[in-house]
Parts: sequence; C-alpha cells; structure tokens
Amino acid sequence: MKSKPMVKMEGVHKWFGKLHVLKGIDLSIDEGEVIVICGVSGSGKSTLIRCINGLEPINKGKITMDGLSVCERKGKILREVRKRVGMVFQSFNLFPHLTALENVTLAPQKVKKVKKKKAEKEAMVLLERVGIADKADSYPVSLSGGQKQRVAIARALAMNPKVMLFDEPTSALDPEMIREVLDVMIDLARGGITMIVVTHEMGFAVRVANRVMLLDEGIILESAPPEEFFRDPKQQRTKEFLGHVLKVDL
Amino acid sequence: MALGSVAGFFIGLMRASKNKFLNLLSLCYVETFRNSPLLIQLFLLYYGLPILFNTHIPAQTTATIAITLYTAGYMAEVFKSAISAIEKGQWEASYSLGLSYTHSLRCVILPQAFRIAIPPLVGVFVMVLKDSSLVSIIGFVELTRMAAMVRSLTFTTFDVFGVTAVLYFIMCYGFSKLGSFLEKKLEIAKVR
Repeated sequence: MKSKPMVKMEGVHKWFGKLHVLKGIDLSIDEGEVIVICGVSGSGKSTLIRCINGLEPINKGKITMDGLSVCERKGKILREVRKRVGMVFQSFNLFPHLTALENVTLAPQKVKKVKKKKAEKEAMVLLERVGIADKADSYPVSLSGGQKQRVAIARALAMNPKVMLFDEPTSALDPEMIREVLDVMIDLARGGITMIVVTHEMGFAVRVANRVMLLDEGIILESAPPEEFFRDPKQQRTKEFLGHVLKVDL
Repeated sequence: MALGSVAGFFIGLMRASKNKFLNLLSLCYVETFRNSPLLIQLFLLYYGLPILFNTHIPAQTTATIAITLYTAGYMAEVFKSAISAIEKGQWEASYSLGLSYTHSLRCVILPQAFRIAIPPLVGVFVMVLKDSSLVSIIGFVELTRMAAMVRSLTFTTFDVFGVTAVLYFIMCYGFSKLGSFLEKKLEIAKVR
C-alpha cells in the first residue's frame, strides 16, 4: 500500500527574469526517504529546494508538502508549511545577537508558544544530539564553521519538522569540519526523517541516500538509487559529472 | 528630539515595508523634510499653523513640532538603511523556521539593525542639536537666544557667543561619546 508522498512537485517551472531556471520538474518523495540532489553550479539545485518551503515562488506547476499546497503562497499556508519543513543553509544564517541556545529556542517559543523552560530543555537535548551542548551559551561569532552548522541543524530540528532541507550544508566549511556535520546528517537520516540534500558529498549519498538525482540545466536528468547512480549511470551528462566530482575517499 | 526619534522609527519601518502604499507615503514625508531647510520649515509652521487651526500657537509648541518632524525625516532614512543592511539570509532563516514577518522583524532583524543604526543616529542627533539654534528666530528662548539676550545686555559679543559655542560643543561631543560608548557595549554580538 503506497502512502501519499510527503513532497510532490508537478510540472514546476521557474524563471528569474528571462532566465529559465527550472524547466518542468516532476518529483515525488515519500516519508522517510533521503534524497540527494547534485549537479553543476547553476543547474537550479538550490532554487529547487528553496521552492519546497516557499522561499522562492514558482511560475508554473504545483508543489505540495504534507498535503499543503506550497505554490498558493497564502501567508497562513506558507507559515504552516514552514513549521513542518526545516532548512539548513550553506552560510548557516545563525542569528548573531543570540546565543546558540537562544537561536534554537526562538522559533518554538514564538511560533509554537512553547514555554521558555520547556523550550530550553528540548533545545539542550538537540544540542547534545549534534554534539555541542557545551557551547549552548556561546554566541555564533565564537563558534567554528562546523559548530555553527550543527547549531543550525539543531535550530531547524527544534520545530520538529517532517522534512529537512539542506542547501549545500558543507560547501562553506573547511575540510576538517565537513566530517562532523556529515556525521550528524547521517545520524539524522538513519533516524527516519525525510531529507532532501543538495550536496557534492557523494560519500554521504552512498551511505544513506535512497535516491540520487542529477539536476542539469533545470531538469532532473537522472534519478536512481546510489548503487545504480554511481556504478551504472545511464546519461552521458551524468557520467561526465561523476567523472569531475567523484572523490577517492568513497 | 525624542518624539522625532520615535516617529522616525515608525516611518522608517514604513519605508522598509513591502507594502507599496506605506512605502510611497513615507517616501513623500521623508523627502519633504530632508530636502528643505529647517528654517523654512520653522517659518511655515510658525506662521502657517495658527492660520490652519485658527488659534494662537505658542512658539514652544511650534518649535517642538518643527524639530519632531524634521528629526523624524532623517531618522526614518537611518532606520530604513539599517534594516536593509541586514543580509537576506537572516530573513530567510527566520521565515524557514515559521516566524511571521512581525516576529522576524522584532526578534531577529531589529536587534541587529539597531546596532548598525547607532552611528548615523548619533550623527542626526548632533545635527539637529546644532540646527535647533535656529528656533531662536521664532522667539523661542533657547541657548542661542539667551546668548543673544545676554549680549544685548552686556555688549560682550565675542565672549557670549564663544561661551555658547563651547556649550553646544560640550553637548554634541557628549552625545558622540555616548554613541561610541553604546557601540562598544553592544559589540559583543557583532554581525558574523
């Protein structure tokens, strides 16, 4: 018995002025699936996931998330969608005037009206889970990139989302910090949450992805389970892409 | 001036908002008051308001109104610029967490914008403080006027105005120092 998909995009087109960035995206992601989206710069990967939580409006097509229609862009619906979708950014986007703990407790307090003590307790659990409970009272300016990103992950998880979106979460990190963030993400994936990750970290894809998708010039060129994607790519462009990106430490 | 700051804050919010109507309205206000000299605004208000409202309006009230409106014009631009200076990522992060526009503004954007706004705010304060000497023209007894009165009584022009200038300097310099002090205190949470 197939359950309703968690995220569904049908015939999605997006233009930035004259630039046709998404040229008809159709995809369907079930609950608990971990999807990795890769592609060269400019292929539209960031735009694609930013459409899922409504950060980018679409020009044509339909997007639904947990039954809610994201493309309708009504304020109330968008806020509902965003309560259920967490997002982690390449440049962290932590709130610099708040401590790590306050960063994590802000949304639950303001949006879900959780009481401060309860929010802080739950936040500490999350900060422990991502391995930085000792930095709870530190300000972002004193944290390393890897630590900042882990706070960002905890912050997104604090809203108990059904879907987690990751927009190149490790691209702005020094190599020695990538590992700590990926470990947190692998742990999350194994926990069963639906994840859509834009990344070049193929090791991550091999370990936990259900499907890997190649986005090329605005369309999903190829979509397959990692073994198939890496070992037996069907499209020429996929082979070229893998040739450039595949690292030795797989 | 305090009134002007508060008014300016709200007008600044209007300038920064996406609501086209509010934006246009506040833009007209700001451009009017920033692009005309305080002196003219003073005269217009002092002679115009009583005609409009058909009553006598004391110089003190006119002066207060004039300075409020004048200050607000500048403050609005300062606040608007400060808000615009906050990077888009901060808005995106708040929205992604489900925060509304109001919560995002209040809890994320404004605390950061205020810190950026302090230097230009101090600048406006100092500017208006100096310009306030103009209200002596409409008879309001303030520092410059008092100086003029003392001068006519004692005929020691240079001394009197010299002392006045020093007093203004002390006030303005004091404000600037206060501004620097505030900046240092709030420096803990610098923007990344």
